Amino acid sequence: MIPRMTTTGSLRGYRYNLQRSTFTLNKSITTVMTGRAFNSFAEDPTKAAESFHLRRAYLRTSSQYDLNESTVRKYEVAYSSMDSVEKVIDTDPESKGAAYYAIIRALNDPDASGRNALGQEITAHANDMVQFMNGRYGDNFIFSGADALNVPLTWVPKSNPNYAPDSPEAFKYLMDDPANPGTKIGTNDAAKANTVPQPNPNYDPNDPASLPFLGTDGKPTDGVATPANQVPEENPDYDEKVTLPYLTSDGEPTDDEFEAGRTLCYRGVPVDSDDPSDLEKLDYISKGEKKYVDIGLGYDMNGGKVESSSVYNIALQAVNFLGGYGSEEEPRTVTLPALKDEDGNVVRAEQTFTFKDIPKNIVSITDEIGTILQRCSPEDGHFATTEDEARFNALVDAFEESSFRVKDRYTELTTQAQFLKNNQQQLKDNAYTINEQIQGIDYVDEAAAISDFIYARYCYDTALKVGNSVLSQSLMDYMNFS
Amino acid sequence: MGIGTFGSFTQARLAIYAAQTGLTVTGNNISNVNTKGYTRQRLDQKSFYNAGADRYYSTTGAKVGQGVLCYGLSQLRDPYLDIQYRSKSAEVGAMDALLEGLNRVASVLDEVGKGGEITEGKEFGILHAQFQEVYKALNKLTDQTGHDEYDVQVKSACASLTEFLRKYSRGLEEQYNNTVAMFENNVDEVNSILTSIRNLNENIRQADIYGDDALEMRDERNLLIDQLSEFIKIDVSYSMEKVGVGAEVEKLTIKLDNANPDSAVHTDETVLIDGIYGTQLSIDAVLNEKAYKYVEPDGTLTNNEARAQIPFQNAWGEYIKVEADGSHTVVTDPKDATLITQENPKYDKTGANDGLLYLKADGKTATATYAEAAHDPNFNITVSELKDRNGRLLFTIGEPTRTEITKAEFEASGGKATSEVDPATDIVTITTYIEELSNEIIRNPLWNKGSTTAYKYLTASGTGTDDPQQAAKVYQYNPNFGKKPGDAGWDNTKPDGTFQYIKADGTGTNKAEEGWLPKENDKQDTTDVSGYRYIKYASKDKTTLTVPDDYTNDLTEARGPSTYVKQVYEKVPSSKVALDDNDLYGKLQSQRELLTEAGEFSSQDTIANIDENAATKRGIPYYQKSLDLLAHTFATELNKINQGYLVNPEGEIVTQVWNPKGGSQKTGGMESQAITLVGDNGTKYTLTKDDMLSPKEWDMSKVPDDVKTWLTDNDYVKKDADGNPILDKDGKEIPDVIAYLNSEQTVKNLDGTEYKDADGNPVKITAGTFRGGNLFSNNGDTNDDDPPITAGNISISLDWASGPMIVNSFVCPTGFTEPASSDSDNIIKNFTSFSYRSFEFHPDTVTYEGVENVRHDAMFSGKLEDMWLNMGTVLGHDQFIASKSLDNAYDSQVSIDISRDSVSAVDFNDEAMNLMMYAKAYNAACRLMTTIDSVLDKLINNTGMTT
Repeated sequence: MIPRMTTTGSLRGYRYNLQRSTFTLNKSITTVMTGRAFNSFAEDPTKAAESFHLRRAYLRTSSQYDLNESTVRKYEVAYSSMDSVEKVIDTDPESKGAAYYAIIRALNDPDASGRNALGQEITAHANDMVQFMNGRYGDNFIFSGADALNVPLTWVPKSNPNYAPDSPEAFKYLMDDPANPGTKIGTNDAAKANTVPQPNPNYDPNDPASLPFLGTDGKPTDGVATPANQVPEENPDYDEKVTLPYLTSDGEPTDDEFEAGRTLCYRGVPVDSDDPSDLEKLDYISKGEKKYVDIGLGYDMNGGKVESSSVYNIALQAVNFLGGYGSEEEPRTVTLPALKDEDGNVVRAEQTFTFKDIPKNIVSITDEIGTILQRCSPEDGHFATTEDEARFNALVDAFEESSFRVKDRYTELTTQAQFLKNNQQQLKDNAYTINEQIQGIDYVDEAAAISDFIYARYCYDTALKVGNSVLSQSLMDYMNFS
Repeated sequence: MGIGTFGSFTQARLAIYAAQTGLTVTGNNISNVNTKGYTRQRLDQKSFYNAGADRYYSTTGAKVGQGVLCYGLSQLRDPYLDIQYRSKSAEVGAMDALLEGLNRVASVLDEVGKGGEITEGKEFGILHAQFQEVYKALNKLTDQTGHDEYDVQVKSACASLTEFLRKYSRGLEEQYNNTVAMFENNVDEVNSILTSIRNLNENIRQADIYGDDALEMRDERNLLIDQLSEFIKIDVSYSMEKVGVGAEVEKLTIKLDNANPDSAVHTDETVLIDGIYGTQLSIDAVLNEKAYKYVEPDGTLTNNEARAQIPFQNAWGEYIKVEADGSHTVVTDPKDATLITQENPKYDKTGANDGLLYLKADGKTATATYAEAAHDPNFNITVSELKDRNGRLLFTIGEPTRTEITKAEFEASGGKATSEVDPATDIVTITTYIEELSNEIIRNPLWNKGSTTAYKYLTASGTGTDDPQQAAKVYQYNPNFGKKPGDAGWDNTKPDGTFQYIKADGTGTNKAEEGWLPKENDKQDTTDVSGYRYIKYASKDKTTLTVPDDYTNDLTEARGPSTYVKQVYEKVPSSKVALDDNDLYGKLQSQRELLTEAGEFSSQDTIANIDENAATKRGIPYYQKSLDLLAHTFATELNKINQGYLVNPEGEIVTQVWNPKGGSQKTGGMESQAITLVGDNGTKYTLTKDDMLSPKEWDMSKVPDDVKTWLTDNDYVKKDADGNPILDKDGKEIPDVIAYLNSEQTVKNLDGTEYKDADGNPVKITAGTFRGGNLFSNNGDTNDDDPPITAGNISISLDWASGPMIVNSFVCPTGFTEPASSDSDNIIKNFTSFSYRSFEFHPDTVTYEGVENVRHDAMFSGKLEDMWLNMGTVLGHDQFIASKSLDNAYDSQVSIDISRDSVSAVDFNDEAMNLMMYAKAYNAACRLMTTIDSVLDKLINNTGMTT
């Protein structure tokens, strides 16, 4: 049976369908206006989630791109610094202005008269290298490893290895130990020291007339007739050398910081030190210390530790780029040939020297070469000692070897900088690809959106026309009782 | 008999009347075409037929109807479609309210298309983008470690994140409050509808009694029922109700439509409307426990002592009967136990809280007013008692229980009914005592009603009778009438001459009806048994019966013995019904669930006792708690990784020792050294950060036993805020490595001897060097994280707000006592990993007052941003499903409504047809009238006339 279609029912159905038609039209207008395929999670939860995942990846890639760019800049500055160092240590004998050029001249100068001046030049080169390596990018020292806020390389006064201010030999006087009565301890405070009668410096125990003390009047006394003058008890073991913290470049103890020789320190640790605790520190800094950044290499953690291959280490350690630290592993032996005068007489016999403490660090080497040359005779340019001469020769060889290590690092740095640049391009490409994907998910094809809109409007217009017909006609309109 | 001569006029008149009424009905239909809820009406007509055959009729005559009668109007409705419509209406209401609520949640949480200019493609979301801002700032910090401004950038990004979280939390809170208000309004709306239906029922009933169809009122009622069905799924039924002898009217009953899936629950069939009685819904209020003296057996608080009676149990749970002498007897059946009153231990015995039955929203202030009371957290609904317009309660009287009693008991009762009210239930027990007469009557088979020998009198027709009134009258004339004493025939024994008749008592009268005697039966035989109707019941078993001892005309004597019965009726008052959690379905329930359902955050108690499907239903609390969990996890984890002790590159926690020969200047200096604890048995245990669960908790399972003993012996034990040791369940002190790390120790030299300063004094430092602190707190003015950090309170901690706070690294390079100045070990390992790490989100992580026993199983595993994304996806899917369901339900509803319209709605074509039909009928009737007039005119005026 055909259902009875009533006026009210027709209107209700029409109203419902018109409502849907309006809704569809409105939705298609929104789509055209926004260009978005969906405007809420509810419209397409899966695509919305996918979109947010991609957008997160896009933002993260952008952030990694920024960081990579900053790292590239840092490496460029580092490269520039190393380039300067490389020029200083260029072992091309013809490379004027390089330290090696000066060294060769000092080595081969026939009359050696310019060794002092060359020494000063070479010392200046050592200073230059330190300055190059102490360069900054932004507010950070480039070659300071993970200690970028502090200057990496510093010159500190050369320390006295025997300096022991707390040792018993470091005290001029003796005093009773309040904690252990009967025993004496050292003190530099005369007021606290025990007092003893002032000895007579001219006292001769074999002379019965000689008196052992000096009295308060300054004259010899036996301490009975005239009271002996009381003075602080001196420490018989007192050795001033253990109280002087520095050594001059000649190796003499001194407490004058400006008179002292100098030692190159990296992050406060002497780079040439043989002290195990110093070496332990430098070992860690050189090999163990890392400063990672996330530049989109696929950050990953394994067992609570960051996978080193998934992050990038930007800690550049100056000591690693300057030939190393500590002393060479193998002693270096230098044999000085016998020297003969014009008459063929042997002035100096052939001598062989073995050095166990030749530094690895090229700055230290350069600086020591400069110091040795400056010790040469200003008159004839002769080395101050044959040992100096032998050491000079050993240092020249060490310089050459160290410079190769520096160059290796320089090459390594170049490779790293190139990797970062490639990574920069990779990140850019990634961002572009992700953006393409986002476009594909989030946004509609304009042509399709407009077609949908036109169709929706067509449907709506048609619905309106139909509505006009629904409302206009019924049998009532045709009734005629006349 | 055919129609009379002028009957045809009546026929025409009725036809005109019917056509006119039809036009009126059609007009009414057309007029109400736009009236909402109007049901088209139809005129009910029947042919007027003078029913019944004439006693004498001509076989050649034709019986013709005498016109048309209009006997009423009827509505055209299809009850089946009404049921379908209302069922769908509940579904539409449910889905509409759910979708509307979820849309409001989405207006807060949905970030699709937000966060930037669409034209620039920067709709990265808000919180989504802010998580990336934090990552970006942290990434910058890994590069620029040690510079405070980059710490500030991380702080700013985190501050924005916390503000967004708080804003979203406030937004959800606002939507929750809005939903509460809407729910309250809808409950009021339902109550208003229920009241209107009840009142209409009364009016329709009244109209029914008077014979009015009350169609418009029915339309109005149907419209209200349709509205009600959107809020609550209902079952509507009609029945007939007796309103007097032989009279019945229609009664409407509306009850809940069995929505609860638990078949054991019957509160989902609660009657809402029962004829002229109606109920009201109310949202349960939070009760003030101090205002109630007693507790009912089901745990309900009450001040009615009678309701708080429970069987007496001893300490072992045995039921006890207290004997008259006070001794106790153990009984097995609780019904046999003595009842005692269960008191409420929380009742305020000072009486200060008496009458203040509710608590306000602050959970502390008591109030006597329901309107001021806080809603029950589960927004439970209670259906009130059924009451009529005047507030009278509906009582239902069931079938009586019937018990036979003895005559003595009956007589003792006096035959009077009694009633008793049970104060615990308000049920009235009515007891009636009835003497039921026996149906066994011994009749005399020889009884002859008109026997001429058995009775004392004779009737006028000569039959015998015992009734003098039925006997023939023998008038007693006064022989002295008209005479004087001494006259002839004067009889001194008779009345004087003024009376014509003599009464039966011998006195005189002039009224004939007083002056007669029944006619005596002079043939009466007193032994004749045919004069007795019955044989006495007592003599029924006799073999020989004698007159008059064994015979009687008294029915009572002939009837068997009575039965005595006690009948007990229970007159049960309509009572409140506390609805079960799932008894409702429709708009109201959806809004309730929006307010209460917490999905995976539901308490196991709720799932076990209230709603078994609670874990899968997600309302606003689910999203609030999810957001809280996200904020809490974010803050707590970052707080955790920003605190700890300095370690060496191997991850061993270090302390400072003096190296007399160390240092660049050979002046000696502090170096770091891993902390190794040595147990009483010599076991060595080096403290590594891997064994540290949090800055406040050490994994003691990794600590050797003798080291634990050493810790305890040296007072390195867990202590409370006052410094008192905390004891374990065995009453023992709990060794604690953290206590050691925070303790003061004297500095040692590398060789283990004690270091002394220049003055020879030992130097003290804390064993471990603690760094960092909370980055986030539950209040920007403090560093506190207890009570737990939530989305609503998450803030940058006071310390972080005051200055840089992020710990870049805990790692001291070998030999050093401080981490390198720009070391970013902690940032890259922990903070950056934060953006990559997968977390397990446990629903029980954040605790809420009053919610216990929440499931621990992870509700989601993933990154922080994924948790946020998951919230959006879950919401989106819920919206999607609700939207599709609503669409389908609404589509069906419209379809059903159109079907309903096909039956009940006005159609212009139909009405036009009716108009034409009734108009033509009217014209035809008028034509009939004219024709009859014409023919009668011929008959009357022209018949017989000849020209």
